[in-house]
Amino acid sequence: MTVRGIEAIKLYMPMSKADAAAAIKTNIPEETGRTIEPVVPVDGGNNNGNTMNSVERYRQEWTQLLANLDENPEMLRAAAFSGKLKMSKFRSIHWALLLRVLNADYRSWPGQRQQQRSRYEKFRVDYVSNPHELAVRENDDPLSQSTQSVWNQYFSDQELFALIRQDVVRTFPAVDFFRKALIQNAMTNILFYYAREHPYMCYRQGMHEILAPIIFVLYSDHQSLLHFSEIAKTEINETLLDVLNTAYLEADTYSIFSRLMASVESYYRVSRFASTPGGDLETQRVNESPNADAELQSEAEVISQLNFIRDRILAKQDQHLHHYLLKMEIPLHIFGIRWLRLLFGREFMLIDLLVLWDAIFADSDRFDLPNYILVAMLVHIRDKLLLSDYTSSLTYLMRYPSNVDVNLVLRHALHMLNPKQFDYPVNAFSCVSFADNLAAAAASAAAASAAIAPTPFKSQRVHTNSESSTGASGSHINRQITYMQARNAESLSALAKLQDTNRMAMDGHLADSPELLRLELKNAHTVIKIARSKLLNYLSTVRRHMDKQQGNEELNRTLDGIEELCSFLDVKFIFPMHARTTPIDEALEANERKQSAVKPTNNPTMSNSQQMPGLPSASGGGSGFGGGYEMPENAFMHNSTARLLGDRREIELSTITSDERPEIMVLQNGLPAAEPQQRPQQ
Amino acid sequence: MLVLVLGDLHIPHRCSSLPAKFKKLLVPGRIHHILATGNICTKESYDYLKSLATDVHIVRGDFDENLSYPEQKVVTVGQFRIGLCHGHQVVPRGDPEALALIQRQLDVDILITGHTYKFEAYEHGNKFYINPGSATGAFNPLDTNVVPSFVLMDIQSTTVVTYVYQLIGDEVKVERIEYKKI
Repeated sequence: MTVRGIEAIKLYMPMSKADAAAAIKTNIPEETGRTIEPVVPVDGGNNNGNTMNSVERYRQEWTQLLANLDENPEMLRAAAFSGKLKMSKFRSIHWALLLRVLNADYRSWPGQRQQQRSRYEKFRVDYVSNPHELAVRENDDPLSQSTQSVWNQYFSDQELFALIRQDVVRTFPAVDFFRKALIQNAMTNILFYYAREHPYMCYRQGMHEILAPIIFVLYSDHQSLLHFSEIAKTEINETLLDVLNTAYLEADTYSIFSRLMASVESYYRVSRFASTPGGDLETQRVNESPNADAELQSEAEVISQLNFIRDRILAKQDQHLHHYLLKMEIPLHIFGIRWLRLLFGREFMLIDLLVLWDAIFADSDRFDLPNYILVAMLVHIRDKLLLSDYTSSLTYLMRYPSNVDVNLVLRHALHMLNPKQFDYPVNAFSCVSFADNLAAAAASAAAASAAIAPTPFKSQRVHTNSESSTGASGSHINRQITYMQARNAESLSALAKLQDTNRMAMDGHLADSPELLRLELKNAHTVIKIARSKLLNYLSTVRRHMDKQQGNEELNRTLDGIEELCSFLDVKFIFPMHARTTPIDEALEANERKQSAVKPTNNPTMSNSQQMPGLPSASGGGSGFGGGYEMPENAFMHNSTARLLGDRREIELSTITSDERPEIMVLQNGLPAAEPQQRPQQ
Repeated sequence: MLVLVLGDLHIPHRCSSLPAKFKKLLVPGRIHHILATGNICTKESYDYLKSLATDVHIVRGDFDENLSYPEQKVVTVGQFRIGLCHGHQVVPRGDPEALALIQRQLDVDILITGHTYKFEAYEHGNKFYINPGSATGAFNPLDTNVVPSFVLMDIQSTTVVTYVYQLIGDEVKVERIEYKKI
């Protein structure tokens, strides 16, 4: 999709200005036509029917927009959140509405536009003065240093202009659209007028990259209107013509830009005290150190916001990553300032960026969403970060991986922002490569800390494992695992919702919420189930190989023991109560025999392994009581599997070991009742 | 196009430096060209001028250390041909008719000379004559009470607006003279 996006830009924006209009006229309807209705043929022969379609579609979209405004203006927000504006030909109008440059009453749009445009025209008169041609004023000369001097202003304007120009010509070097002189001049003018209109902000690097997508969207809308008016024979809505008047590209862009800047200006501001964009952001840190070094002080506002993001949002969402960043001493502002200032312009492709911006604009004037997007972006590359050292972590952060799905990031951010309204994206962590994933699983297993963060990995891990165990995995097991994955994700989002209502329970240990306990229990069940099916899976593999080399009784015994463990892991399995009386019980053995009927050998030492239900530590891989029996067996099992499978599947082996530990921990945590019950009997 | 015209600095022989008030006015980035009428004397002064604008044109005065400067020079700015000459060759010094001779020789629209240590700007036979005076107010054998002055020309197509900066007492006075090419 992203590749298509950037190609589309190149298609839309040919280099020479002369054939630009022509090319746009042919490209836009076909391009969008293809994506909306795949059945529409794209070759030139059917141009007639095709263009009629696009005309109707264009008209319909416009009337739909107006109808929505009349009935339910909130529809706009929903559309922006869901990424439906991707194909909209009125995205600029949507943006204007979301940013309240235009109000919902479309009948007054021409008036509003008129006002904004005349204001912009006034800038030209006010701010562009050429003292060379100006009527002579007394007490003014070219070398004057006075602040009232036209000449002085003229020279500082020239400096500013050159500064802006320098940045503007370098905007999005890969996109031809921004190489056009028309666009570059317009951008320079807009930025210049903005700087003059807001002397306390002036111009700061980065603003041009905020401006670039806006002018791009507006220009595209203008071009599609031009195209539409050319091929539509009927008359066109007056409002539409006025609102998207191509003559006022600069003025209309300026309105949106200045409105947007009002919201993000805190990212740019250099003064020490100002309003708090995060709402409850603290500025004391900024105020208490007026003598701090200049760099820190000048960036203080955005830094304090980034600290807020780190300590309040990231710490809550992903404790492990938070700790990691602290440990590595990677402050957020190394990359965060750029992320925020450009509103992620450098981190995503232009087309993806627009989707992101739709949502940001739709959210609120306070611009909370960028904070969450920043965290979502971090969480998305968490496994890459956690596995790398300082240098490569920084590389990931400074050059954010381009293969991250923007929709996923957006969903995740929206979920964090408002868990009630937006569900947790099920596959939020699927954008990692396979090798990374295994290692990440190991990493998260080692951590096994927060209640939320590791859970997605469990399901993910199981998934990859099931992929890796190629031959032996029965299809029903796979199905089962997929089902459990889905269930896990479900309960996860439920858990997150629950936690949102009880904000005190930061790490999921709200002691006496029955619902929370239930969910955790459910989660533990899922894990146990997965562990069981996988264990069976491996067991059958080992058995298959065992059949070839008969007669190793000890090995058989070990395998029987493992199978037995599997049956205990069945959630529906209930520990036999009468096992309390005698460790070796005939009835139990009979029960077990049924299960082990398929075993190739029936050995007398069965009773040994059947003691295991009595030993809680049996599942724990040989710790604590009963170590006399299990330790050697377990050790042996490792050796044997290594011998049998080691050559072929070393990766998988490593997963088995890394798999077991956290799951068993959960097992013990999740089913605390089983242990004390069994203990006294020993 | 802003062209700074100055000369007869005589640093360090007769003056230590430009007046502080002048230095404050002369900031880099505003002036495009500098035309110096000579008697800059040292390389240090030349370097200072070079720091104000990259394009510096100098003719040789009778006290210049650098002997490679030309006696006369013609510079074209916009539509104006501007002749530059120090003026110690002109006898009697600063005489309009004698200067008109040089103007005809060089065939220029504007002739800039120095050596009199006194600001002058006048039209003569439809040509424009400028004498920026001494920027440092250096004394001369005939007059010990010299007013420091320099000239800034704003050249726009066929019009040249001349701003004259004079340090009178402790204040910089600016006068404006316009000349149109016919």
